[in-house]
Amino acid sequence: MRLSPRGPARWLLYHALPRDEREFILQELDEVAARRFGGQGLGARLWYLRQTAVFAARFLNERRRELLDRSRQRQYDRDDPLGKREPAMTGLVRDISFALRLLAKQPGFAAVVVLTLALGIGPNSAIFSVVNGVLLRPLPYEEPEQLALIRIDLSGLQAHPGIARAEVLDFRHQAEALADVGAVTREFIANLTGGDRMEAGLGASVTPNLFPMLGIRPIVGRAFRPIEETADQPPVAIIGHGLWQRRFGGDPQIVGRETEINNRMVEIVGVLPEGFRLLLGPGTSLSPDVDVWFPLVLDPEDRGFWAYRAIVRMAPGVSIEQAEREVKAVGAGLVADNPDTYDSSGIAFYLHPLHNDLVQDVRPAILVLFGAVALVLMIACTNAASLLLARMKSRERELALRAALGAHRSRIIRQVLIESLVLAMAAGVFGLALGTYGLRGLLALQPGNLPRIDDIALDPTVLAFTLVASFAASLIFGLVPAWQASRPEMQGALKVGVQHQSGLRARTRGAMVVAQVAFCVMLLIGAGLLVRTFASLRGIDLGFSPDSVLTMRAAMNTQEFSDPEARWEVWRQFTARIAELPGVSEVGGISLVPLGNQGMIASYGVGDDLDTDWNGTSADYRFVLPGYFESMGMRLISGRAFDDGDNQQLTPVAIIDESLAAQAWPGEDPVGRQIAIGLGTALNDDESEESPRAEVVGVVTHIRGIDIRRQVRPQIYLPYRASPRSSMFLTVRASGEPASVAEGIRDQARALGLGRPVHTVRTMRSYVDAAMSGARFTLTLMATLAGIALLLSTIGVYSVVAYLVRQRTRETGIRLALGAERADIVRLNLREGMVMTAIGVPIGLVGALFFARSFEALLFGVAATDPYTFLGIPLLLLAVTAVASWLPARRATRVDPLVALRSE
Amino acid sequence: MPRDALGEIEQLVLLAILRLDNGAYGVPIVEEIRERTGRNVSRAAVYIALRRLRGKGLVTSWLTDPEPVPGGRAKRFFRVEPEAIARLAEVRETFMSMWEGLAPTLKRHSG
Repeated sequence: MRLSPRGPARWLLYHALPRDEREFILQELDEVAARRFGGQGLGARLWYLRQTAVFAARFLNERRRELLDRSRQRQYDRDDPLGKREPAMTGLVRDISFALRLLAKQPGFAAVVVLTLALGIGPNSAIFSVVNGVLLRPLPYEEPEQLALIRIDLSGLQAHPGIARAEVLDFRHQAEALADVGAVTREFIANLTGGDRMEAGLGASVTPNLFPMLGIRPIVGRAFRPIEETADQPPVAIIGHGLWQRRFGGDPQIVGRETEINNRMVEIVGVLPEGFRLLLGPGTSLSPDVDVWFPLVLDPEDRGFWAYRAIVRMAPGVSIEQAEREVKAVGAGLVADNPDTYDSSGIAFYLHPLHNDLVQDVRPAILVLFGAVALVLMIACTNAASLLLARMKSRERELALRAALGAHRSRIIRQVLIESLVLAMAAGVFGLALGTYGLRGLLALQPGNLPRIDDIALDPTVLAFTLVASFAASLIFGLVPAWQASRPEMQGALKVGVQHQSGLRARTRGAMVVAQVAFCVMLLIGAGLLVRTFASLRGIDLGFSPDSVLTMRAAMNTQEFSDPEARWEVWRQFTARIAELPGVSEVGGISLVPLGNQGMIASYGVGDDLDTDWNGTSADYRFVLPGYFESMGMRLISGRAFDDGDNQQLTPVAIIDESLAAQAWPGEDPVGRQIAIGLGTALNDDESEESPRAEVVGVVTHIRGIDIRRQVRPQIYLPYRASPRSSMFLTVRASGEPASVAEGIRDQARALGLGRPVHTVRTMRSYVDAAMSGARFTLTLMATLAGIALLLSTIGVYSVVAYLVRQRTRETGIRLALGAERADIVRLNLREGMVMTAIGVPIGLVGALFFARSFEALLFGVAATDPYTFLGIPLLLLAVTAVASWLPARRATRVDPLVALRSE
Repeated sequence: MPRDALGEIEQLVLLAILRLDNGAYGVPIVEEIRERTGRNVSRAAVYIALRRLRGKGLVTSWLTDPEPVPGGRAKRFFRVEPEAIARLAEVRETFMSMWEGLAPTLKRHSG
């Protein structure tokens, strides 16, 4: 009967055994395993692994011995009777087999060291996967380093990712440093209504040159043609691979098929490759899950909407600096030629390399975490070194014997280093497994703002990194014990009873604990600062109360409901019916839900500015249905909310937020004042509405935006009827569980015959959580790492104090015999641990100052040098190490003086 | 020690085979040694000792018929050669002569 652990263990054994022995020995091992364990189960596997290690080691050694005998015989024959030279490889094999045998004899020790190191290597492996996937791997496009995104500063906006269509053409024609310029819109809803099932997908429009520019070719059909960039072309679309499979069953005849999208019959001309995503940086509002692509028509007259994300390919040999200079030059020319378009604050163009742009927001956090895991690895290595040093004591005689027999110092160092290497490699394997599971757990935290999550995986680069990290770890933790083991003073160990080695060993171990404590302080302070940051974030006044609020997107068939009044009537009825549903306390609606999307932006003018210059002002504006503010729990500060009677055509009205009120009319009540809203120069791609002036009828609380740390532009609300749209986000405040009302709302939508599916059903709380997910991710990680560090350091302190206690057994016996109090003994030993901590803490505090400064950008509501954290953490650590020192110290008092005096 | 002297484990292996009616394979040899000496001698060391003894010609091996079960294989049994028995006797003589008369001394020092 063959034992199940085939595979690596058996392979190793098979090849380590001599040809004429292997079959019989393996067979007999199987027999023993069957007898003892029934041949299956964990016990059998572990026993088999152990046997493999021992057999492999011994038989390899035996082979070496046989080779040596033969070579000695040859050398003897060649008149070299001493035969001193030893074939090099056999020495290495001997060392490895010796190391394996030694570790197999002390499986407990080996397991502890391997586990300790794995706790250090694992997190490194996991975080490196993130570094690799997000920061290092080039984007999946052709020559991605030549791609860049244009951003602008304009009118109170900074680093806005869109330009106007005319400008796209201008750059294309005028900038010679740019080989090509393409553009893409933000995403929009693509209602797929053809066929038996309605589906709300995501769509976007791209210039025909964009996919070829990225090196992306459809796997079926064709790309867009250049002519499709002009108006009045038959409607066509290219779909994503996922949609092709999902909705069209991967139909090989898909090219030329027509389907209804957003109320138009569209011909599908191509399918994109599987896994294609257009990855753009923050603020671009383009999801990686866009299913349908339409050709973007570039209107050379359109200078007014800065809503088109422009991706450029730099000409070969052109650097980013050169390209940016040229872009700025062209931009300056545009401003000069079109004075009416750009107000006097002008417009500034920038060029960001595409990859940089994508990761700029998350790079600081990732690098900080990478630094943190490096610290954890250092702690793990010092722990392992400390353990190895402790074990050196039991090998003193063996090593001294070797030295006496003529082994060169370098041989001994090599032997110990190879033991370290074997341990480190085993730890590398476990660490990799740990890291893989850890990574899965990490990504399950859903760090919403982490781009390229799909690119984070265990690939050859990560494996190579883990190998290198394990190797480096083995050097780091093996060097000191190796050097110590080889010192000439070891000779003294041959004489029984001499103890002077232990003094040096103890001091070295003590120094290692000091280092561990210092690293630990750094990590704990980092975690502490992030905890406080997270607490501050959670405590932010969002301006509304997100709990118990459900949001969803509802839409109506635009052809069936084309009359604005008809649309208004539908919303009125819809919201009225929803209000009657059980469990619903308030209902409202808004054009774009806050925290979910980049809003629509307009300039505004107040007071004397009404007619002219709206320099540097910009505000978010949204259209709302009555009941919105109540449903969101927003406080009405003065005036009133909108009601059914607000018809924009008759008496234009607006509601502003408190920050606009404070800016425009500080100290006064703005109700009754006039405000002009420049929708004509809006930075969105919506239909332009003329709504020059409105009367302020109410002031509400300010709402935080997507990055909840930063103050956002002031907010203006206009009544729905100012721009009657067919699609709105509904906001429903429930008296119980928000999710429970969803079905009822869908039923009402069907009953009213809206003709479009209700989708994107989410609680407001989920939007808030998503906004904080980045901070939560970093915090969770850092806290975990700090926890590992604390555990390892505590074990480090404990084991060193325990070691010292053991060393002092004789001395303790003498003291007790001479009348010392047990409490004195405890105090003496306790002091050892506390002294190490007391030295390590100040060093760690200094390190923490630098460490904390490096991630100042991640902090919120707390300074990088926050005194509470810097004081609290050392106290915490002192308390923990006090306990870790007290436990072994207390055991010292249990010593029987007579026994102690007799011990060596 | 001269090159072909009998090591301790080699002696134990030879004696074990003899105790097993001068015909045994690896598994019972290990068990016999462990039972009689009470030491957890390394299984791998026993196999290596068998190999060395074969190399020195002190044991020989033969294959039995395959076991009468599906997938049964032949086992390799060992027997001790007369020369080995003579050497064992030599070793015994050597140690017995050194031990002679030392029993009381031993008793004193282990008190």
